[in-house]
Amino acid sequence: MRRWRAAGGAALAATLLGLLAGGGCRSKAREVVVYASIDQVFAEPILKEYERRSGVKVRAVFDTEETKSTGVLNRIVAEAKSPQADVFWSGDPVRPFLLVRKGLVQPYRSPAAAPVPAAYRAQDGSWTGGAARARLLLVNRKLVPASEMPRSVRDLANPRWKGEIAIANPVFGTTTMHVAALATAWGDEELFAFLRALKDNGVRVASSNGEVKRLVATGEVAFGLADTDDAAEAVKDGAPIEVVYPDQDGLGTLVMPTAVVLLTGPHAEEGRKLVDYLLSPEAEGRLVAEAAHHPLRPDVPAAPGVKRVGEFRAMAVEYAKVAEAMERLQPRLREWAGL
Amino acid sequence: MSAAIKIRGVTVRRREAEVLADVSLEVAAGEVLSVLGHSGSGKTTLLRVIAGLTRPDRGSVRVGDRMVSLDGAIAVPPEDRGVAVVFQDLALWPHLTVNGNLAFGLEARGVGREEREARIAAMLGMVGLSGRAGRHPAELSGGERQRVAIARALVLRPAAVLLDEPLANLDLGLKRELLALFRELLGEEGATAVHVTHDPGDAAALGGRVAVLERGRLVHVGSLEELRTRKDLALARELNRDRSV
Amino acid sequence: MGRALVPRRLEQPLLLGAAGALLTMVALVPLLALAGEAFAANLAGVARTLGAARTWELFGSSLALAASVTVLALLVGLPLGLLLGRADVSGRNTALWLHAFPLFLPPFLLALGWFHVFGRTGVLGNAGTAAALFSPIGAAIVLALALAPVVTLLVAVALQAVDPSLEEAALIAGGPWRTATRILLPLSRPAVALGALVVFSLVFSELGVPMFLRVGVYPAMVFARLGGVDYAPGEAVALSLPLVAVSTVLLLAERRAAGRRSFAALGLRTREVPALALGRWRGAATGAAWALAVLPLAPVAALAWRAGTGFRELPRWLGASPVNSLVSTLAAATFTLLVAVPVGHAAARGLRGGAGLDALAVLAFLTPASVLGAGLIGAWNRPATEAVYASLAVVAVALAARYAAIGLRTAAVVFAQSPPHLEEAAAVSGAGFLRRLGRILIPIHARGLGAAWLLTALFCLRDLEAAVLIYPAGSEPLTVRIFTLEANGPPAVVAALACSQVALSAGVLALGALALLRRRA
Repeated sequence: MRRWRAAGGAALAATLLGLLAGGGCRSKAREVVVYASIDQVFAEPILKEYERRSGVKVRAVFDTEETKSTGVLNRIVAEAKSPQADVFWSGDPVRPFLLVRKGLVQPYRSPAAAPVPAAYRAQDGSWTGGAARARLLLVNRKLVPASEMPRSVRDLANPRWKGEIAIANPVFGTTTMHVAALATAWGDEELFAFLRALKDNGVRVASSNGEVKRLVATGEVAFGLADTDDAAEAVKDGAPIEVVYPDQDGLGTLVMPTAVVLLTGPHAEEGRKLVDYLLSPEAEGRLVAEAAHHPLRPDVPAAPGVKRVGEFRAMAVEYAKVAEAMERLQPRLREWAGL
Repeated sequence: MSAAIKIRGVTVRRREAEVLADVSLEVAAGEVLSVLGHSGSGKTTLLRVIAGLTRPDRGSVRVGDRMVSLDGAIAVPPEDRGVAVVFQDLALWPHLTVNGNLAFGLEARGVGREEREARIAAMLGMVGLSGRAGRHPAELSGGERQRVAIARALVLRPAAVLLDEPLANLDLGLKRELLALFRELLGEEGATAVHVTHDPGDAAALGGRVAVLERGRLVHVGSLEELRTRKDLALARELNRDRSV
Repeated sequence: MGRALVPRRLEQPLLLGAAGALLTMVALVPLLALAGEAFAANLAGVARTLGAARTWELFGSSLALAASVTVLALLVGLPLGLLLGRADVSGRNTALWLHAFPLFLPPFLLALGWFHVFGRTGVLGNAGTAAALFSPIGAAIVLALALAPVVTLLVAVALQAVDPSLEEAALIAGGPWRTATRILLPLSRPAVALGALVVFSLVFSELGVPMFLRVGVYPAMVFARLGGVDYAPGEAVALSLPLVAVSTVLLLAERRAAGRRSFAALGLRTREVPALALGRWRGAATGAAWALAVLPLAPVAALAWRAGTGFRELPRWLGASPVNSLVSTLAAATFTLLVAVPVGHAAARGLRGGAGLDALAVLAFLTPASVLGAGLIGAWNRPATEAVYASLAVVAVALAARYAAIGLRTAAVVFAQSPPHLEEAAAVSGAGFLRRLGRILIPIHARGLGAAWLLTALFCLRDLEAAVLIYPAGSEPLTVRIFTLEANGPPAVVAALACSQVALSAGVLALGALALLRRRA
């Protein structure tokens, strides 16, 4: 009796070990590891489709809303000793620069990248842009009459809207990149003068862009800065939201293409194939259609209500400079955010 | 007869106080020695030192011809000393039957199955529990549990059996009956026993020498009659007042 | 028996040593891996941060949040523990179980549920409620309701262990009100002290709920060193030292005050004692107790309501994540129990090494999860340990490191509850440590050790913070999936996933409780 129980226990332990290791049973040839800071809800179906079509197992790590696009980035940095990820599918082209500098990127000029405008890809193939988001003003129509529509990000500092504006925490996410881009255009001191003005204007610092969308949609604030996909989401939900492309008569709207980056992970060959797929018109088309991104390639049609990159004035950006600014600004941004 | 237990200069400290102070004592093989003392006198500690459950700070303990504890160290752990203990709360294992309680130590000592069964059957017969082998402790009466505890100790044929007030809290009738049984069993098995009690009556019932502890010091070793003459000891005065003994 | 292999007197130290080595491997090595980085860190940066007024302002608001949650949790938990633990409230056992359940859910999930109640578009929401929810007061109430069951349970179980004769004597002399306030509550003081400190420590290191409700707290500052652009694990370690210091001081204080008995309340034992008769107050008390007990379930109901059609899409989004959760939880809880038996025994009996290993587990429990996670990457992401790092095993390791203290403490209490004589009697009968353990201690304490396993498993199942930093690509636990999908995922689907998490925890709790209660028979 006791012996049987011992045997049962051993069998259970063996099964458990097998299940535990199941995830790590690495058939080196037929799998690829991708770390994605594109929203899981959009990225996962595209990766699943690739998996179905190629027969290659795609194993993915996704970012959380809170750590948006720095969580997996940090994980890639932390794992530098023994790289795990083959591909980084980034929500923007800035963060990959941080990886380039640490030698964690494997430059790859994908044949699929040819139709991408030169402004949105690196010459050496260290990153290639895909469907883009822009930084837009989401305005609650019920609270802001058409005559008073904000037109520039600087309107966030307008005392007329004191206590009724929101941005996401600039320490995390695309907002970091946005303020860094502003710093490259205005200079650091002017940026922080602007941020101080925002604070004086009672800006609500949300935990994420999605949260900014919620605040505007529910009327807790009059308007705020968020991304294209947040804007589309709000419109789709029927929220009383007007979407404004800021600074059309000045600096231009900040465009952030997604970026596909080949890393130094263990499955280089499968990694290249996945990069090719993620840059294909089909994958870009899905992000455009489902995640309301702006198409970058001429061969991908835009979704209704969303402009194609090139149809509005885009801010002229050197992404490498933005990356530098991001690192430089970080301690001061944390101070500003009180972290 | 040679000494079954030999204690030399044993001291046990707890914080600053000495629970046992320089105690030396010998128990001859086959002897039944009662250790008398009030609560807090150190008598239970003495028992635990012999069993190897408490480490003495100084002194030595010999069981049979083996040095089991020397200079504040436990040289032989309790499981290898070959002594048995009957605890005050009996410490019967609730999840094992009477048979299981008796078999446990025999198994641990590598006694083969046939011999084990024979010894258990004989022992249960001696304590009058032959029909109770399959019961769990919770299904027994208080007196029956006492019998299981003593049987569990004696079935091992220990070099010495240490009894820690096994009869405290029992009514007088049951106590008399069990004392008689203990006496008979100990005699029959020729066992060496150290019996700790606060009740001189129990000591008298078991017979044999008595040792008296007062606040950790051994103040008397001898017969009960000799103890009566020690007017300087509180216990002796109590003994003389108590006519029942 | 393997008698010839190891001298019997070495059985206990060797087994404890093996368990200690395992515990060190999962809990201490990651912390050491990071400690090295702490020295290499930009010390000027650390010094500047530690010298900044804002740092201590955040530290202060974290302390304030933890203190107010503790007070609120006591205000809910004490009377409720008294009513459900001892008074003749109708259906008190059911109410107690319902009330305890949210404790086994990730707190951020409850915050999400409250958002669906009081957010502007929530069931009962308007601008006022939303503003109140997204404020320090809102965060304090959400956390207090989430953690009040800690106090309720500890008080209820402690009261059930009070000797009925004490209570009867008081009843004859003074009536129920006096009995409750003068006798029962003072007797449950160790449980109250423990409950207060557990709540305080948990809030003090809580990240998810304050971040969700936009309340600035100190752990968020630590997290910013790991989740921001300038990944600085060394600084994060240095910054987490004040957190660990406060929690450690409090825990030491608690252990001094309440002694070893304190954790006894976790023993899940139920002894029938006559209930305190409330007389004409019974109806009102029953109503109040049920209302308070069921209140923390409101966010769960809101999630179910919000999920609605989301359940239909569940198969598509659930994936293998519940299985990942279960497998890593089972492995971690089982590993923890294996370690907890020798270590808990040594701690309960005051044997050498026991207290030190116990302290190590508590330290890992108090270290911010993000710091522990970064340490685990440093320790396990090497070619030699690839098999562990690239599989769910690394999640199990992380869970074991973070929650070992729970299993270990429970096991220690379980062992401490039985008189040492049972074990000593086995020793003098000639049984070595392994035989004593296998034949006497484990069978006698099977139920208590089962409870230790279950409690550990439930905490592993609700974990988000430890797993999120290190889960292997493609094998995320359900909590992580909810959290990553929460980024712009359809709210109905996210709510449906949250309901799946609720069902998973409820299922494990129910199965575990059934198994434990059956064993009692």
